[in-house]
Amino acid sequence: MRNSLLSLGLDQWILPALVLWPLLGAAIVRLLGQDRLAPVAVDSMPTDALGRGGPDARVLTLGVLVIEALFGVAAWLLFDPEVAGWQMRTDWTWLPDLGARLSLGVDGISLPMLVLTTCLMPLALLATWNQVTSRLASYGALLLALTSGLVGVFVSLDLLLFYLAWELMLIPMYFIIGIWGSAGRTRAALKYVILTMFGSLLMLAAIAALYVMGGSSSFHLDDLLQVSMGLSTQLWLFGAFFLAFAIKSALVPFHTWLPDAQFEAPVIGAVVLGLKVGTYALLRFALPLFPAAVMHDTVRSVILVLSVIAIVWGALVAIVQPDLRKVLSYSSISHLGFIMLGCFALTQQSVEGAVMIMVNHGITMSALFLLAGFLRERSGTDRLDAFGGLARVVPLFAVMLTLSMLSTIGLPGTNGFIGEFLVLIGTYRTEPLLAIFATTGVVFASVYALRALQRVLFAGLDVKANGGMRDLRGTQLAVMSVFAIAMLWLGLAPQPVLRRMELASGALVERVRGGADDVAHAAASGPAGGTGASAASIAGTVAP
Amino acid sequence: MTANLQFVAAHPLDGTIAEWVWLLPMLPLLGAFINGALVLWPRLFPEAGILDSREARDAAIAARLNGTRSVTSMVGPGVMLVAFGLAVAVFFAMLGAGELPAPFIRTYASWMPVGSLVIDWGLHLDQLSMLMALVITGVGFLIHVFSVGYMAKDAGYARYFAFLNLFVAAMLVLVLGSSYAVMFVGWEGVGLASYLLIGFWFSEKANADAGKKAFIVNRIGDFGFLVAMFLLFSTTGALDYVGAHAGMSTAAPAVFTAVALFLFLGCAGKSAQIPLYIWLPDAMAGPTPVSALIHAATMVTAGVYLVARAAPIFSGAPDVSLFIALIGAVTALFAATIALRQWDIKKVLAYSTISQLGYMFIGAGTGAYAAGVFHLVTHAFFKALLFLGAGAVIHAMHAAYHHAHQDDQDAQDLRNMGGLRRYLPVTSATMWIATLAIAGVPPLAGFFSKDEILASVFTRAQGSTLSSASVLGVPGTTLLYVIYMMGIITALLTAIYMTRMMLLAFSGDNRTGERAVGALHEAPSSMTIPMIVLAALTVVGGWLNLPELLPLGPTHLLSSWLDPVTGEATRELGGSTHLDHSTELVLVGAAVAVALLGIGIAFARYRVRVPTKDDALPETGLAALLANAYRVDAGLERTVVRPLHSFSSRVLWQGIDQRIDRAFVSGGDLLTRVAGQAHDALGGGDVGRYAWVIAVGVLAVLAAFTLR
Repeated sequence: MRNSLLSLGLDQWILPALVLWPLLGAAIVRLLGQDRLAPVAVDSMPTDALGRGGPDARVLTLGVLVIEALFGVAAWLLFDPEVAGWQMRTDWTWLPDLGARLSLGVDGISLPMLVLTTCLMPLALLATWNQVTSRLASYGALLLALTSGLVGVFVSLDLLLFYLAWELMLIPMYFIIGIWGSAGRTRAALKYVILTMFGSLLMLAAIAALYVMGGSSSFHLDDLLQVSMGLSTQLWLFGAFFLAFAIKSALVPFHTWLPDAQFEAPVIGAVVLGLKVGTYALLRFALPLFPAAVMHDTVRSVILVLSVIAIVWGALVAIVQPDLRKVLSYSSISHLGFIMLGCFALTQQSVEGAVMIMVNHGITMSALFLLAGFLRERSGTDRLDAFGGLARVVPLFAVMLTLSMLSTIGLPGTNGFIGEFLVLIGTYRTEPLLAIFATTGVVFASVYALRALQRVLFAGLDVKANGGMRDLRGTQLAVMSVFAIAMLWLGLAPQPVLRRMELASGALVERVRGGADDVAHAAASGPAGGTGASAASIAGTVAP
Repeated sequence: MTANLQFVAAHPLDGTIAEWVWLLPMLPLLGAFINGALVLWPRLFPEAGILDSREARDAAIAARLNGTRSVTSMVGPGVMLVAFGLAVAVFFAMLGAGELPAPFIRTYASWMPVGSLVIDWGLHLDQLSMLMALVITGVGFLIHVFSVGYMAKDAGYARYFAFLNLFVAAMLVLVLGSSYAVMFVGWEGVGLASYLLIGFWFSEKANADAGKKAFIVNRIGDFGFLVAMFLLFSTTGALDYVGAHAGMSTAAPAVFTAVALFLFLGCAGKSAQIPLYIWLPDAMAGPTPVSALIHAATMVTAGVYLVARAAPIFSGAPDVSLFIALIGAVTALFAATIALRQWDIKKVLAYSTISQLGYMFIGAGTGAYAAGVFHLVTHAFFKALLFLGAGAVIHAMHAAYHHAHQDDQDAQDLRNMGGLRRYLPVTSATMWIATLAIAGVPPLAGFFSKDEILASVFTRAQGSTLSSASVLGVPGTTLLYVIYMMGIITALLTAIYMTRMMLLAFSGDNRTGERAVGALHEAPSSMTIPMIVLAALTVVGGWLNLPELLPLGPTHLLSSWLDPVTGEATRELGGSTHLDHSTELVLVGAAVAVALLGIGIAFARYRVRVPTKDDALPETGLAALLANAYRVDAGLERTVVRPLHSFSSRVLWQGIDQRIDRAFVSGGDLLTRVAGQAHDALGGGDVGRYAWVIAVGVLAVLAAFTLR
């Protein structure tokens, strides 16, 4: 399979295609797509009388997304797990004056995120097919632009390009929340944009500083990795990057925008907000660029402790939420703590675990937000006290909700377990006490998850109107089955994914721990030594 | 890494039926799939045209489910019978192979290979897992057969068997898994099945709550299990039994203590020991055969299995072992006192189970792993029988009340029973056998296993590693004598509360009520036959491990069978101390006397009239305290659950999160106004158009740069 794809030269153009195809698709959908739903059987009146003619914009969007997903699968097949470093690289001139290039590539950390994103989008669109009924062409085009931004974030090696993709995610998301969201949408969208923008600007400044320090010739990650910096420079720049990514990924205490945004957004918006682009960027850029800052005792302790606080905080607050969507958002905040913990514990297991959680979270949380959306589609609400006893009325929905919730709380056999277990077992090797505190999260998780299940599915059928609720059927059932299979498959046999991320994660751990070592040595030989030395001693003690 | 080394040497079980051990968990899993498919099939593929009316749809689905009922009756117990047959065949293969040089380990696939962490899907067949597999499939099969009768009229028939099969599959993974990680899969898997089955009749909120409580309390234990695994991995670099135990041999004593303590937290959760026992009484909300299989015979004994499995670790931590024995003794006594004043027949048995599990931990804690496992096996026989008998009673009571249109009456309350012996003779006779066994009357199974545990405590009180260990400064010798005394008192209480339960249910005048009493009848043969088989096992179970004192046949069969697995650890903790026969005779005599005394006390005390539940006066004083199980649940609600809830709600959420949020919002309001004015200045229009202006603008700027 791989060879036949290679013989097509696919590895030469697959990544640009992944980024540009949705943009092209956005233009097509916007220009050709039918903006409104076809009127229901009003004779044979030409649709032009109501708006522009042409095919249903949703169908066009879906078509573009399915092709995008096929590209994603092709990238998976092309990837060689035995090869370290970037694969499927393209490197085109872009802004020669600045030295910025259209430089794309994937490794074992970005590949799973890329494939997840491209496969998730068409599924999410299918599952929410009838939930958006107005301005379909704009909706489809914005979704496609958003996809392009997401993919761009995962494949960019040039930091300027990355920044562009990062912002490209923001704008469509703002409009998706602001136009198709629920009652409080404007406020939620604005809060989201302002906070994220604030972080982005800091990051832009840091990128500019890096660029200048590197001789103002290149924005390429590989080049910027060569820039040598003192500890204090690293700390400042790392701070800027970290803040940007922490806000984006809703790390406590920058988390309050997420429950609001996911609550007000249309379902597909909530799904995309659940994708862990922030922590991906952290692993890809902030960690390897500033190893001495990452390994700095105080910085690292603060972040690790924040991660554990996030785990417990998110889970505890999830216990008292009145709406299913808010339970899910706070559960995400708790999961984010596990990811951060894994990233900064910096062992092979913890980093691979963190990436696994990013992937699993994308699958499981998407399934859950879609399910919450189905509830809302059927009854107009997802307040937990508006339900009860649904297991008898909608058993297929009940099975899917139960399975997804079990995955959230990391039941062994589901995908959720793999990530959490790897993060914790890896973290324990360097930070035993924090790992133990973090593990209490599994107890609190079972409390919020089972409470939500209980309120929705079990006990008496208190609200009579729910008795007539439709169960999952057709497309929605098919889409949820795909999610269910993915959850079990990744839970029982995750090693196709683990195998692909092994080299990249190992290299990252080595780079950060080793990089911190270098700075420490440099500092020790200079006049102001000392701070980095303990980081070096940690680096020395941990085997892969 | 270590996993590969084991394949170097040829194993006597290579190429025998033991190669099929993977089928053991797969068979019930297959049953769960088939039954699950039967449940979901009519929903996935409804007949055309019935979707319009909910009533019509539900009726059609119920009819289709009814049509497949016979398939479920075949598949559910069928897979268990095949699995039991296979287990027996593997057992004979093991007997035939003679001395096994090492456990028989098969690895099927890689699960989580990450760096130095190697976790495989593998099974570990040795004397201990073999014994457990026999009990699980054997007793499990009987309970599946019983369920065919018990659940016959239930609308969720196929769903019930799907969950029950799933439970057995998870339980077999738990005992057969080749590493702590795979065991954990089964460990949480049985927890899930237990959750689903406790809340099987989920339309009642109380049942769903009980399931939830069981899962959450078990998760506290699982937290300990997880941390123990992290410790093991960071110390030894392995999680499979062979590798981890080998790696631990060079570990520091503190590591042994820590691993053992965290593992025991897991055991306390699963096996309902203080302080995590609180979920088990509530778990009685599930169908009674579930209580027999999961909450008496198998799942709750997983903690005992874990201690025996990890014997090399526990024996390296004598202080922790002593602590475990102490917790076991306290739990045994504590639960026995509560059982004295319970009126719900299942609650009596639930507290009795907690108490007996405490006994098993006394054995496992004092390093008498084989004795603990022996009691596990005999308890599986007689407690499963007691629960099935209680099920037959409840089944009959329920049908009678239903017949008399008195569905509001409590079919489980002992005060509503009385004189049932006349209507349920088989149930009464078999349950009496089990009662005498659990009370410790020779020569029934419970007598031998309980006696062996108590004897081993007494033996180790002098001159063993344990006697020189200590808990919180109290020396081992003192503690072991205290534990022994607690065991004896518990035995007395056990005889009392069990006899009380039997007398209240089966003797005296009937209190069921005139209208209902006529409809009382013995259970169908699908239910009585499993009870008779279990009664027979209860009678002969003691022969599994006869003491030298009573050589009624070959002695110490079970101890010597388990010796390759736990023998070394036992000797490490117990030393070579031995009781002389005269002391042993005195101890045995005392134990039997205590049992008979207890039965006598109960006969003297409970041959009086009791009022029916509706006529009963509220209890006061100590009786009320015991009847309310020392009010622990209410106390925990007040001191843990509600404070945590209000902390999460008032402090974290409303206090901090929403305040941060309000700050943003007030800042955001300002920006909204500004943005709104800018928006108007641009000529209003819709937001969508605005989006395109921005997008085109960005692209234009970029293009300008690029094309320059």
